[in-house]
Amino acid sequence: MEEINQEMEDLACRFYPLAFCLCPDDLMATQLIIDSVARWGLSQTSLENWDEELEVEYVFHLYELARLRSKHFAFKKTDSFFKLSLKERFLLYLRDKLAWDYSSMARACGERPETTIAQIHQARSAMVSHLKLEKAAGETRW
Amino acid sequence: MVESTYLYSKNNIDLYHRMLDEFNSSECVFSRNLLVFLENGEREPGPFYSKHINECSICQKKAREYSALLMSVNRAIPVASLPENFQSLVKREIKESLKLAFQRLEEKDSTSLWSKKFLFQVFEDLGKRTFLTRDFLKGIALASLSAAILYFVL
Repeated sequence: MEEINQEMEDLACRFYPLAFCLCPDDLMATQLIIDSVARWGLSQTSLENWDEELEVEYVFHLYELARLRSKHFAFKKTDSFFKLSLKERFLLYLRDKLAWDYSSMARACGERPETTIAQIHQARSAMVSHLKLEKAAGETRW
Repeated sequence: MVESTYLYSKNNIDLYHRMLDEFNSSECVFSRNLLVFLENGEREPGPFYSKHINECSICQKKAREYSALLMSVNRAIPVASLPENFQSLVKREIKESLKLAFQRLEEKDSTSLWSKKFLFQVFEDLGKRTFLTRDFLKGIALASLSAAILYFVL
């Protein structure tokens, strides 16, 4: 029990920035982190084997909860990154910040790796076009 | 209105060569594979391709552009720092959540054990009541006696 508590605390601290990228609000992100632990705990069917793929499973629950909550939550961030969809932000963060491999990312999204690769490329190109627009708007403003 | 020109006619041979040179200076057939290696960091390019990348200016330019793109995307992703009291709050909440989840699992385990015990008890009682009663044994004895008589008679 102590061991899993410690492991979950580490995961919570490590994935807080991801939670913030999905729900850009301190309170919401903290709540998301805590609720993902509870959701993970409730999804377990046995007291053993919890350490297998704990990280991927935790991130899966984090994403699922964020997806459900995003329907009822609007935020006012205007950065290019926050103009992307929830899934695009999730994939970009995992790939470009945490350098996750495609198969883990696919498991975290509940999809096939091929689909995930295609979605990452779409997310990147969307991000680049948002950045270009932002840059152009900045130049026009000056 | 833009007019089209047929490049493969003998009259346009200069234009054809000019276009071909222009295309060759901007495109390299191997640069298509370059993105696969750059994107899929787990795969190492073979000796031929490694040598080609070192020599081909077009591939080098593409690789530079790609890493610049990745850098710009990476820079645009925000990294939030942990809020105040996050660790203490999360520690308490996580402990509670996990305690509840594990309690539920233990209850579930004990329930399934109890149901197994209950089923065993039911069958045991049924066995004692049905198969070990005097009437049942009398019935069995009568049936076997009549079967023996029938066997000898017939």
